[in-house]
Amino acid sequence: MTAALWHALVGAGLFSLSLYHLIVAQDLLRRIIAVNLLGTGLFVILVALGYRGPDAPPDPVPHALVLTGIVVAVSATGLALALARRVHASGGRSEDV
Amino acid sequence: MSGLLISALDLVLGLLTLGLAAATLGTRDQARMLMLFVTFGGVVALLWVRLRAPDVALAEASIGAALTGGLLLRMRPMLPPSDGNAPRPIRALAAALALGTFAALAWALSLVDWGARPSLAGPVFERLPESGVTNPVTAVLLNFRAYDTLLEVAVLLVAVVGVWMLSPRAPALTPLRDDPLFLALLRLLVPFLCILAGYLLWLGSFAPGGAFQAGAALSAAFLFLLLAGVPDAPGQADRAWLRAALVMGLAVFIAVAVGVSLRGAALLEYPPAQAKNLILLIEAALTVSIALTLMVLFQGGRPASRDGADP
Repeated sequence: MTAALWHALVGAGLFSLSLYHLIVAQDLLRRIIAVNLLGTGLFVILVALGYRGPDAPPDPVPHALVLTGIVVAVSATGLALALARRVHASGGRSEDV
Repeated sequence: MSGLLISALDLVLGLLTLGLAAATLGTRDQARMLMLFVTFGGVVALLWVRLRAPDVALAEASIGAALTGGLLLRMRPMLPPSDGNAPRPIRALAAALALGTFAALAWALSLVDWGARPSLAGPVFERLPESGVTNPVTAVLLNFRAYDTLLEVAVLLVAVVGVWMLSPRAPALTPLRDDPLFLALLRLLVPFLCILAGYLLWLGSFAPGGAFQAGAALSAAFLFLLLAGVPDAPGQADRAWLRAALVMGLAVFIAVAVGVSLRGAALLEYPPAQAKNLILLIEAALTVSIALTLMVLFQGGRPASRDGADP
């Protein structure tokens, strides 16, 4: 098994694990974290696909995509937290969401 | 091919990543969950270094781990935990779905020809001299695929607008005004972080770094000032200049896009002679806007206007 395939499989594992917790979690904070980890799983797959071994330069396009993704993820997290606070403030329970 | 074989370090890093993710999502305690999440971000940053993605590693450590972690820790007291489990059939279905997804992904990834798969590295390196910068990731972000970044900056602005509308008054924050150690640390850290931001911004044109990493460093400086309760520090009051600075990154980006297209080029197709200056101009504006955006997201709502009155 090559290092790239191994890391891509780790990314796939991360994605699936987070998917399970995203569906099962009742706690909004935990769901927001699950979405973050799910995104990281996808990022790992993308960057692993661009990896060319220790000697060749990697493909920079997935790196740029993932950089964009990380920044979008933090802004989505900020918005999700504001929404979650609004849910709690209006007396809603996470279970209803 | 021996260089491509999986090493012990890769094995340990991968297992550690998966283990930390499982621990983060599996723990019952919210505080422990957040601490594990930040640790996870740090380990993933190491993973990026192993995959030869230092630009991504910098962004992961500063934004993915530190700032997202800070954001989550700040909001946790306002989000009381709700325990309880999903009904058993739903858990079984979710597990089946997750396992099926993993099997499908693993199958697809095993079909990839890892020795010879299509890559855009060739075209990127071939046209790199025309891009104005020598860091290929910056060339892709701000030249070859600059419209992706343009739209990403728009997403950041939309997130700020959304947070301000959902929460017209930022939740109160108790400043650490009376802690002499913290204040002494700040005197060293804040100027250092400002210099670091400028350094990362400049570095991005030829080495790992760039506007996002620089923006994260600058926002850390702003956050320290916010936590210390320094009055009149940037981003702590809803003033016209704050709104202008939040929009500035996108505005400069659009102005450059329109400017070059008026001269007959395609959208964001910089003239090669001016490419470096235009990229640095956009990145400088982006750094300030990103720093303030992250700062406003951390505050979790619209800061009070200058006189503290509700608009």
